Amino acid sequence: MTSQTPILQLAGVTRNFGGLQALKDVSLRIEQGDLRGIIGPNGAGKTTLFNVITGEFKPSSGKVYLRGEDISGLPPYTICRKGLSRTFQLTRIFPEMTVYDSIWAGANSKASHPWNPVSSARHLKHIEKETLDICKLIGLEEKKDELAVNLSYGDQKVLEIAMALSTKPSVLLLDEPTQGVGGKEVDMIVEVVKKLSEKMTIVLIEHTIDVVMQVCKTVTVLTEGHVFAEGTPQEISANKEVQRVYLGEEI
Amino acid sequence: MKERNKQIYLIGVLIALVALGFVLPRGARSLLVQVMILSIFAMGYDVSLGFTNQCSLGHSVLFGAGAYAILLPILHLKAGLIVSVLFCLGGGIVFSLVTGVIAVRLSEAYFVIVTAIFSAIFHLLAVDLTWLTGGDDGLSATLPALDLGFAKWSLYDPLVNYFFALFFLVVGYLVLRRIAHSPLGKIFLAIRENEKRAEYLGYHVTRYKLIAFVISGVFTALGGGLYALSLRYTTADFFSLYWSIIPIVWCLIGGLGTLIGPCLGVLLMSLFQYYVSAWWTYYLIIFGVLILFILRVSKGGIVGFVMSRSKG
Repeated sequence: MTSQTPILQLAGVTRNFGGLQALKDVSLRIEQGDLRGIIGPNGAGKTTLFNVITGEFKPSSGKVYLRGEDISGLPPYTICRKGLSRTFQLTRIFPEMTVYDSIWAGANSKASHPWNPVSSARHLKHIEKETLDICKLIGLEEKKDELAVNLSYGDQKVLEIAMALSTKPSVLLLDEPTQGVGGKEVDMIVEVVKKLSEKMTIVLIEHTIDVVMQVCKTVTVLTEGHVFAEGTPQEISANKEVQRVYLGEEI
Repeated sequence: MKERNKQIYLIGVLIALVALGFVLPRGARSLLVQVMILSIFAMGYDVSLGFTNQCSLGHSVLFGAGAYAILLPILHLKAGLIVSVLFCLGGGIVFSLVTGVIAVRLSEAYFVIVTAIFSAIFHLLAVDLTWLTGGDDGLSATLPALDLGFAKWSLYDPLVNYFFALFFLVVGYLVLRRIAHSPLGKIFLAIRENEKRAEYLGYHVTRYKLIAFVISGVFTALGGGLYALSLRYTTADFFSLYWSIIPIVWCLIGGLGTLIGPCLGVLLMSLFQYYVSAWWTYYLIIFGVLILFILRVSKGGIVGFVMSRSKG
């Protein structure tokens, strides 16, 4: 397994903001098909890690590889086109667009001529099919004609995931998909994540330890910008050091 | 079904416009010509502000460029009307590319400021370069006949003038409507709704904003060019900030991003300018209050109001 090129790899990634070192020499190997949980206290650099991987920030030093290809410092839209997609901790949706159109916009970006100014968008059957498939997969089928702004917060979180999926990623980064969501909706989102993990590699930032322990195959603990521990959920919850610095506060 | 209703209305409007061309008295007809021409400008501006949320204050540059790009070839190259319209469209592309390449990469407030600066610079240039522009006095031209090979019409015939403007309005509307419903139009809306998210869906946002800006610029230049043709005159004043702000007013009262709305905005404002200004010089005060009232009642302007009514 280690001989194979990992689908996503970080090699000594450091990111500074002025004097603050948000990420310190972070190295990660995420294999194809993994469902990796990233946990850590507030300010540990989890979201910064996502921002560096997806091109929002350039790493100050170090490299990010997608399927062995160096993607560090590329702009977000290029990285997205290479098959890496993400959601945002604070939902970033298209408020005045319907669920269908929001997902359509992502599906269209991988079409042969996304900028087509002539055809009617309604008549592009293959994009329509992809969009409807995602609506179905993610359980938003009945709400597809509603404006995104009118959805419940939980549904907006699901729409976030659906929009990330619409670009057909091979790696999906989810930034706290259950944050601020009520009990029943958490279960719904967990189900969605489980279902997706059969099809793609997922990296999941999550604050709810139960969720992480329940769904993740491997877990990375981040504290103060560096990798503190790594292993299966069982190993992590058995790790005394981790319990002390992180889990201890929670349980 | 609803889409069909809309089409029936639009065909009704078209028939009415054709009929009005024949029955209206001279003064009202030339007012309507102005409304139609400025509506092309308004729809063009809508692509920038309504479709992609780029609040440009630099469109006076494109309006003025269009006006000069159409008259200068007539004056100096003895060009025919069709050729000079092509010059006008080309001028729109060149000027919006040059200003757009610099401006669209800036975030909102900086975009507004930089485009306003463009407006100021080009206005000064136009006033100063009198050998080219005629400065504040402007240039007037004698228009050549519209020569289509099989027929020749003079724009000095008010009826020809009217249908000349109507032709461009209809074609302009159809082209922009086509774009609005195309994948490109959907990308514009995604960018308007959330630029960052659109980027993370794989779109090169700056490039698409530039495309929108250029499309907007072409129609603005066409509006400016036809406006100059209808007056047979162009002046450096067409570069002034007035022509950057007025389309924002049209779009806001009519309804952003609706294409029809901005045209209604032009109609309303022109009627006001024409009829109310005759009996009260400070008619703009009434108009200002009217704008506030419309936007208070409906954030989506006139079209937004009608749509919300027809739905509920």
